[in-house]
Amino acid sequence: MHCLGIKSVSMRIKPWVLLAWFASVSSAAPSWAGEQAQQLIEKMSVSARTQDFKGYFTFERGRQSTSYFVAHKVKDDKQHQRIVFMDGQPMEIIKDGHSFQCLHPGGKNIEAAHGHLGSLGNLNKSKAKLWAYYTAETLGEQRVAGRETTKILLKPQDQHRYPFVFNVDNVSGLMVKMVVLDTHGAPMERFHFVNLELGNVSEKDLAPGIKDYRVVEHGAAVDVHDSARVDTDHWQLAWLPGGFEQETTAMKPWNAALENKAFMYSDGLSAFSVFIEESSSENQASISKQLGSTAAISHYMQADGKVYLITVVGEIPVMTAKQIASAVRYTP
Amino acid sequence: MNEQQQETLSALFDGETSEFETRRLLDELSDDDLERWHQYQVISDASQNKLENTTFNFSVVDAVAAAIADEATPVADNASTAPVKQSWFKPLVGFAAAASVAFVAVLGIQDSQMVNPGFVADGNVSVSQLPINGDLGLSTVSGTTAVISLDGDIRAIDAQKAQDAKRLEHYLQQHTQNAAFNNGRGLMPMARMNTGE
Repeated sequence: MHCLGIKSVSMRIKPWVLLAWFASVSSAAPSWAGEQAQQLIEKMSVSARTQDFKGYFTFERGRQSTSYFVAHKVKDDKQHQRIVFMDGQPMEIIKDGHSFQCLHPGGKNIEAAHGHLGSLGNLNKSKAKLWAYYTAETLGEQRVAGRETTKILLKPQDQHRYPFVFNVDNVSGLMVKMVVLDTHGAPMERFHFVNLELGNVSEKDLAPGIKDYRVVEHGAAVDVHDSARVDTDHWQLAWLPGGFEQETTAMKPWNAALENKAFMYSDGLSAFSVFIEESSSENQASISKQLGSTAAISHYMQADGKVYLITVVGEIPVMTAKQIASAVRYTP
Repeated sequence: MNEQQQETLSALFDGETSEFETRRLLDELSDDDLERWHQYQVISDASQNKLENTTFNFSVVDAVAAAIADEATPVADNASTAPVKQSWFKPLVGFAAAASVAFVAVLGIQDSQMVNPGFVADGNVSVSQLPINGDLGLSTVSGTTAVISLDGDIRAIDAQKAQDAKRLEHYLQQHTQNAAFNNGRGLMPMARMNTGE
């Protein structure tokens, strides 16, 4: 086994680097050292779990824009949160302490597992790892959603993850805006509060708004690890991007009757999943899809006298996803 | 390949040729001509940092797909026309193979650091049949893309493509949900759950 690497093909200066440089030399706003920017990012991950807030935000991906309402309150040291999907099929996600529930008036089930919620909630426990692969710098002050914020550029140290731009509320430390850039600096996804109110979160804000709803318990998801028929010791990734570590999964296979396996890895900000399944397909064409910052690729490989489909999905550049898929190995 | 043919071929890849010009060119050029031209074009584009544009040149696929669709119907309706099929079929298959070579050749250069490249870096399904764990050398690709030659195969590939696309969407959904609920990355993964469709 050996690590695979991608040589940099282009020496062109990335637009977001120029943006950062320009902002650093021209902005009249107070200059923040990188360390202060890091502290603000870390504060942001804590604030998302500890602050009471409510408001409306939009999420843009390509030409698509959707809107949401969120209310978050800490009661008895437990997080309570409600997210309302304002567009498309009615859906609400309720977090009550440690469990999630998806509420639907009917239709397709959305399932999830127990976990904790909060903007970048996972960041704080892996911040040392994070700063090994990203650097942070401030781009100045900006008013967003009626609030004074500090704009921070989070730059990756390699080509295996995307840059982020955050607007952090100067008072609460909450993230008010986040933009995921591609490797050329062009926006791919934008999360943007249009209204954010601190405190004043009522029980009504947290109560389900869907009448006659059906609850889908998140723990009901099939854990692929438990159901997998493939011996986990036989499958390895010969290479994965630095800083990504395996996390828990509760992902359903496409066809549970066939051998299958799933992994998820995260660097604290981005995540990717690897799905392995036995295939009986005769047409073994590789396919790929890009949806905002999420890349999905599939290809086939032979192992142990069988054909397997390897699928990698994640918020990583498509070239990295391909590289990961190519690094899947089977050891008899 | 003479100069006029090169100009016509260039126009074809830009989607600027008429149906008559396309058919005449396909009759005149050999598979080797098409492959060689693509290699030159890819190398030229690579040297000018234009690979991305070359990769996403859908007009080639459109031209091939349109040509197949135009010609396949009468053959499917009447099996006795098989001898007629031979007159257009060979260059068409050759062009289909060459078109796939064009795409894969681009990827071959872009992915030159990868052990097993074999993906089309766009949002669509590739028509090329890539060998399992295979090398994406031009000769290999030319051989494997010949599977496009039969109408039945085309329909089978279409059905498989649809199935593959559904499966990929399933995995996208599973990844998004797991990222949203299990690992605490906040509101952004939750927002990704809503496709708005």
